[in-house]
Order: sequence, then structure tokens, then C-alpha cells
Amino acid sequence: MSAADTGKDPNRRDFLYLATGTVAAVGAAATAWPFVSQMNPNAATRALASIEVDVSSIEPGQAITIKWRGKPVFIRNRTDKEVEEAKAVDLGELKDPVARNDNAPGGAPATDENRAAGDGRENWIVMIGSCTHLGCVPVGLSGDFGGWFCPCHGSHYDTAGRIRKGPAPENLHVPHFEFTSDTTILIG
Amino acid sequence: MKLKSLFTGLAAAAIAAMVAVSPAMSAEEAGGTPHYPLEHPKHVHWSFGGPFGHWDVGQLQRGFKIYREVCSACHALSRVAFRNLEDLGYSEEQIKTIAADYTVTDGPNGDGEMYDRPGVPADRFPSPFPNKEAAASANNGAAPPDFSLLAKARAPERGFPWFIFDVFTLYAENGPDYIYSLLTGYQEAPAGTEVPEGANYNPYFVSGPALAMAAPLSDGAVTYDDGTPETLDQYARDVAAFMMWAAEPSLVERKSLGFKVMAMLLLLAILAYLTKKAVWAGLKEEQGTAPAMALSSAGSAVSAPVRKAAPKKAAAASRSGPERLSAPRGVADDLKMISGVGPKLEKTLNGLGFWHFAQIANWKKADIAIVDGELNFKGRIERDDWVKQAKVLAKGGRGQ
Amino acid sequence: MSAGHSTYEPKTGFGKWMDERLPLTRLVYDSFVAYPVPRNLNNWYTFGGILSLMLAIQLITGIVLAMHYAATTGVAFTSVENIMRDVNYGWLMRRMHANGASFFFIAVYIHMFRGMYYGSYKQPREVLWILGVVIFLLMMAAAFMGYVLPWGQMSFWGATVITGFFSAIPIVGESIQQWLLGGFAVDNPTLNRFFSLHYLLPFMIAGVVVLHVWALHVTGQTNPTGIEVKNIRKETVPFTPYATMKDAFAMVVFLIVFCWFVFYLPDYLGHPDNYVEADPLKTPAHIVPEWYFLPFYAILRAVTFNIYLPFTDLVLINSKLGGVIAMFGSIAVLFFLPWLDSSPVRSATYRPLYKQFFWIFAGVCVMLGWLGSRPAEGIYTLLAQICTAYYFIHFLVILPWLSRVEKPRPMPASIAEAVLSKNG
Repeated sequence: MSAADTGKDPNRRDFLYLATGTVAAVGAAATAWPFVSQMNPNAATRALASIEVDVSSIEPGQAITIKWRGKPVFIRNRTDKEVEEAKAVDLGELKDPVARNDNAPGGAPATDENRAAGDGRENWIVMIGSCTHLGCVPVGLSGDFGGWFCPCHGSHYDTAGRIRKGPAPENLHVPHFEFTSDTTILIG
Repeated sequence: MKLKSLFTGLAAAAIAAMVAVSPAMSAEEAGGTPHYPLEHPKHVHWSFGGPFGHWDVGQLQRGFKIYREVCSACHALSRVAFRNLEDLGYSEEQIKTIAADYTVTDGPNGDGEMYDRPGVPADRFPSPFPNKEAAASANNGAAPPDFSLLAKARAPERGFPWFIFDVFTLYAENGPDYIYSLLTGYQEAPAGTEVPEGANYNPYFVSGPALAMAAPLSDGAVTYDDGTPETLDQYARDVAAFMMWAAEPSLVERKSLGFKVMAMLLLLAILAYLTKKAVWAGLKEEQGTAPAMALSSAGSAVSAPVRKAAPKKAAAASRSGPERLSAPRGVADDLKMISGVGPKLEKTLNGLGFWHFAQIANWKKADIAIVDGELNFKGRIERDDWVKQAKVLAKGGRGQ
Repeated sequence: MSAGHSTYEPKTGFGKWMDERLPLTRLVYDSFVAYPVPRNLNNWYTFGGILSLMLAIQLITGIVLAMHYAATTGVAFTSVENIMRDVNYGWLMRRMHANGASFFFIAVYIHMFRGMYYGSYKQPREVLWILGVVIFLLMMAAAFMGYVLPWGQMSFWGATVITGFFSAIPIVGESIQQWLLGGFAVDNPTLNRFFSLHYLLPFMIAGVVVLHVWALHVTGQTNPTGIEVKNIRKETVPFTPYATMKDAFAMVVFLIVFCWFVFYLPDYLGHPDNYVEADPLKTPAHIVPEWYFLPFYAILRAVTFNIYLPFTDLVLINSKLGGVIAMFGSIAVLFFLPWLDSSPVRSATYRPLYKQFFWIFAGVCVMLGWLGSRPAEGIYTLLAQICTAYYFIHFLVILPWLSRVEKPRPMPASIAEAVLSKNG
């Protein structure tokens, strides 16, 4: 490339600078992606994003706590009495009237039907065991409403996991789950 | 010259010595401590070799079958998870079924007991022995190594000069080559070679003449359902490929990303080279006119033509200000003697009507500003103090 | 950082305001834009830029890896394997970091030999050179500790051997070794502190690099002629865009070679035994350091004899301590290079004898590297002893002697003249 060429043809030189800059910028952007992506949950974590739980051994009145996505999940096989109690509650008494159930439509009312595992499985309730106040783990079968009680700041939940008394703003959240068979729940 | 030939002689002697040493060394080794493995691995063609390597999914599945039916009795695969089997072309359902075939110890449960449950895709392969000590005691003291990394952990040294060629041929399969060679390399020990009790002679073994493991595979040992020949040779290939996958599941992704990166870098290299050339060509063009200062704003090509236009504009500008001459009075002075002036700038100055030191020596502040503007110089004249230099030069002194 | 006056003129109002308070832009402008570099620099001078690129790559990938790594003996090896298998692009980060260390050393060795060839350590650049040797030492420490972290067999036994050096020191050696290890052998405390220091050292390196660049910008670059710049306008070009573009092109070329290894030969420069988890009860057949330590390893092993007090059989220095002294001495001697070579001529271009000795020295270093990878027995030990002796003779005898007797070739008066005569 002689001096005359470059002098006469600034367009060509401009194009060259622009092309080099563009390729370098695209390369830098593409290189940045792995460095960003590495902070996302890794393959082992993602593999546990949904888990299957065998509930065959949970008798009515019993509950288990399992760990899912790093948090406790309560799975309770409620007695008929507990279900009756939960159904009998007037929605007007509830502090949080929304179901907070990932399996139900967004604004669904917090009826017991909308909280429990659905038709024929009303005895089952599956909830993330993390108090909606500040994230402590509530204790089962205690509190003023026979459901759960959070010892940290005194939030009382009823047998459907709805907040009834205390500082917590929302009902205990119900994660996405389904019964893949009569005895197996797939959470997540 | 004499010294030069001395050095040449020395170098030649050194090379000769090195050449002489090598065979002497191997002879010595043969007598003393032999070098293992006794034989270099045989070369096998692998689908995953080379820059465009890819897995042969059928082969990996066959290798996995061999692992399951033969190797897994003794060898763990503890770093591989069932979910990884997706790479082998299995569906999610198939993986669940495979995982459920295995029993995984989990717990403790509510009673504080460990319990067994069927495996799930997120689990890693359970090991045949609870710990290394148990593995060793069940196998005459030699714990069978975990398969997860073996294809990378057993890679016999390539030696000179092969390790140099490998850089260009991209040979990196000495791990699987080794495994293939070992599995097919069991043979009668030659006369004179002592094989310890319970060990099996194999010249391909990496750390001795014999190993504890007896030949694990033989023709027909595993049934293939895809019509592939059920021979030891084929088994060895398949299981070695499977072990390579187990050791580095990201191998194919690495190579395919590598190709994209290489293509991008090559393109960038070409462009960077041309840009560099263009930038330095610009330097030649401006050599002597307005280098250091003007170029500090370069990098944008637009500035070049602007600068070139400047002298012309200046020539047409008002002739008031510094004294100018259309021709030198007699012989022109060598303005290049002023530090900061080169041949091209000298011509430009001549074009502006400056031929003599005396002219420049007479510049006042306003004159300097005018010329500075004409040259688009941003204060350079003052900084290099042309006026003072010219005064000295006009008196016959030396500049710079 | 630049010598001489600044030519920076802020263009905007904010620029002016800022410039009067924190002239950061001025600093960058003076150091990396207007900074004059000799226009006759060849491509061997691009390795300084390449090294800063490699330092950046090592820092970034290292910080990323530290997010996923666990420095505990029970899980260190597994955490590295999880990085390779499960972390998104973890294999890429790890491959870049491991091979990056090797390429860092490739670049630094070229950079150092370039400095030796062109006499870049000579007056007035002694401090510049010494800072460079300090960086080299810190790099070696960082690389050594980094190699321990994956907790493979070579990691463990490499650490055992290297920390064993210190036990060679008379009387206090054992205590120093235990202090370094935090125990009686390499174990969890060792791994933990090595991780901590491995994370710290690169930042120290970066700090010394700033000093190195500062010193460089005070004295200005050397150039292949070894003649100082006399006429800034004729003999230099501004750093940007000339040196910037040249360095950028060289970096891309270097990256191509680097990526060739990262993507196609990622284990080529490593050792297979490091894919076996550390086992304190079982030593690998041959303990070999990473390739970039091999010449020093050969020097360490070359001393196989005790040194006695003359005319007695009293051991003055046993072979172990002798080896350690020789190895550290081989680096320490670099600090004194500016005074060992007192020839006023810098560049080997005009030193016909030095040029030949330079190449012999380079050959000896390569030879030492090869010998370091061989088992320490028979002819290899003898060759290593000869090469080690030559290594020290080069610095302590040949260079001072050459400075006196060598008759340099006629030198051009200036860079400009040298370049013109070449072109003409």
C-alpha cells in the first residue's frame, strides 16, 4: 500500500479501521459471555432443580421436610379434621387473600382448594417452609391455628399454611409440583 | 573469523555428543532400570481426534455397555453423573431407567440411618467398593483405579522428536491409545522377564512389565446389538473411547468452540495487520511534515486529508504578518538544522515563503501564531523554540 | 509517568475541570498515547504488551476459578473436576488459566532474552531490569503455588519437593519448612495458605508491573541499535497509534498460538499424573515440575556432591544445600547482570563476540530445560553439571571478560542513521 493510495483513499482506510474495530468488539463481547455465564447455576445444581419425592410412607397427620433448591419444603398429609378446619375459614378473615400457589392462576383466592394438591388429593399440602416475613423456618403442628408457627417473630399459619396472625405478609408459598403417580410428587 | 570457526566446531561437537549420548543412554537403560512402558502405544483412529473431532455415539454406547457388564465390577466411575449420559444419545426416560438400575446410598433419614434407594439422573455412578481400602483389599492390595479420569491420567510420554510434531498434528490421543494397547497387549512374557506372582505381563503397561489386572476382555465377552463385530479389538476401541468421554465430556464442545475462536482470531489478525500497515504507511507519508504532534490525533483517518489541505489554505491566506519571500535571497539556508524540522516540513516552509534562518529569527509572537496555524501545529514552534534556534543558526552556530 | 513535559490538552470543560483535580486522563495520554517510542523497534519488543495481556487473562480467569474452587484437601481435586464438568464454561476457564501460566512464561522468557540480547539492562535501565527480575520471581512463586491447588499427584509431590529446599538450610531449615507447611508435611494448612498467597501474588505482580512501566517511561525504551534517542521527532513515533497497533497485532498472533493449545492441546503442557488425586502414601515414578521450571530444576539436581572444607573431610555444604544455593543463585545472578556486563555497547548487533556467547547461553538454557525433564542419573547428571557450570561462567566470567576485550563493530551515530543505512 503506497502512501499515495492511503492518502487518496481515506474511505478505504476508514473502512479498515471500522472493520478491525468491529471484529475486535464482537470478539470481546463473545468472549465476555463465558465469563458471565459461569456464574449461573451449574449443571449439577440444575439437575436438582426438580426432584421426585416418594410420599407413600407419609400417613395422615404426618409430614416430612425435604430440601429443594436449597430450601425446606413441607409435605403434609393432613387429617380430615385439619382439612375441614381449613375449609371452614371465611376468606374475609384472611390476612392474605391470595392463594400464593404456583399451580393456580396468579390472583386465585386463598381457598383451601387453591392451596391443597387438588381434586381427590385435598389432604396433601406442599409448601416452601420459609416464613414470608424474614425467611425463618416455621414449626409444624403449633401456633394458635393448629398449623405452623414461626418462632422468630411469632407468625401463626393455619392448617392450609395461610398467615393468620403475626408480622408475615403472605401465605406460605406453594411451589410448582405434580403427582406423577399416587405416591410420587415431582417438585419443580 | 577464527573464533567463529571455533564456535562452529564447538556446536558441532556438542550435537555429536548429544547424538552419541542418546543410544548410549538407551543401552544403559536396557541393562539397568528399564523405561516403562516397554512399548509405545499403538495408534488408533479416533472419531474425536483432530480439530474437528466428534463423538461416535454408537461407539460410546457400546463402550458404556462394556463398562457396565465387565469393568464396573471393580472400577468406579464416580465423577460421571447419570445425567451426563445424554451425551451418549440417551433420552431422559432412558437415563432415568439406567439410573434406577443402580442402588445409591443416601441419608441419613429421620431415624439417623443411611438407606438405599434407586439412582436418579442427578446422581453420580456409585462405586463398586465403599472406599479405596476396601477396593485394595478385595484385589490383592492393588486398588482398581477410578475410570473417570483414567484416559487423561495414563498418557505415556511421547519423547523426542514426536512431542514437537504433536503440536502441529494435534495428536492428543495417547490416553485412549494407551488403553486400547493395554487391553489388546496381554501376552506371554518373553524368556528372561520376571513376572511377579499374580501379575500379568503386558509390555504396554505404564509403570512396570506386568500389572495386577488379568486380561479383562476377550472375543465374544459382550453382546452387541448393533451388529458391530464382537472382537477384543473392537471392545478395546469402544471402551477406550467411552473412557475418553468419561474423562473429558467437554472435549467435542471444546474443539468446536475452538474452531470458531480460531476463525475469529485469524480474521482479526488479518485486519489488525492491515490496520497496522495502514497506520505505519501514514507515518511514511507524513514523515518530515508534522509527525509526533499531529499523529497524536491520528487513528482517525479523516485527520490526514484535513492536514494535507492546511498548507494550501495557508498559502492563499493573507500575506500580512511574518516576512515572506517568493524565492531565496541567494542560497537558501538548511532549515532542517532546526530541531523539529524535517525535509518535508522544510519544503512546506519554503512554500510558505520561508527560506532563511534570519526570517524565522525575526518572528514575533503573532507571527508564530500565524505560522503555527498554517502548519496546524498547536504550539510546536514555540515549544521547540524555533526562533531561538534560528537566531543561533543565523549567527552561524550549530543547532540541536 | 512520562518523562518530560506533558502535551495533553483537555478538550471539554469537564476534561479541564477534572484535569485540575485528578489528571488521570493526562497520565494515560502521556503514558500510552503521546509517549514516544523509538520507531525502529522490532517485533521482539511487543512481548511487554503481550505480557500485560497474559497477566490480565490470568487475573480474570483466576478470579473466576476462585468462585468455584475449594481449598480443602478432601474436596480440592473434586472441586476442580466439577469446574471442568459442571460449571458453565468452567472447562474453558480452567484450560485458559492452566495454559495461560505456561504462555505467560513463554512470553516472559522471550522478553528476558530480548532484554539480554539488546542490552536493555544497562545504564540507565538497571532499576527497570531489577524490577523485571522481581516480577519474574513473583511469577515463579505464583505459578508454583497455583500448581499445588488442583491437588493432583504432581501438585502434592511438587510441593513436597520444593518446600523441601528449605529444610536444606542449616540449623533452622527444619523449623522454616514446618512454618511454611503449617505441619510436618504438605497438608490442608499448606493448601489453604498456598491458595491465599496464590490469590495475593498476582496483585503484587500487577503492582510491580506498574513500577516496571513507570521506570520504562522514565528512561524510555531501548531499541535494536542500543543507541539512545537523540532526536525525538525523527527517531520516535507516538505510542498511539503506532506501537498500539503493532502490539495489538502481535497480541492477536500470540493469542492464536495460545488458543491452539487451549482448544486443541490443553493437556500438552501438563502432566498426566496430575489427573490422579494427591496420595501422600504413593510417589509418582518421576516427579517433574512444570516445563518452565525445568532449567532451574536441572541446576538444583546438578549438585550431587558435598563441598568439603579444603584439606579436611568436614562437609561445608552438603549436596542438598548446594543444589538449593545453585538454584537460587541462578536467579540471584540476574540481579547483578547490569554490573557484570559493563560493556558500554548495548546491542548484540554491534558486539560480534557477545552475540555468539548469547546464543550459546540460550542453547545452554534450553539444554538445561531438557535435562531437567530427564531422570537424574548417569550421563544426564554430568551434562547438567557442565551446563550449570557454564550458566554461571557466562554471567560471572564471560560477561566481565567480554566487557574488557571485545572490540565492538563501528556504530552509527544515531538511530536515524542506522535505519537509513539499513534502508539504503
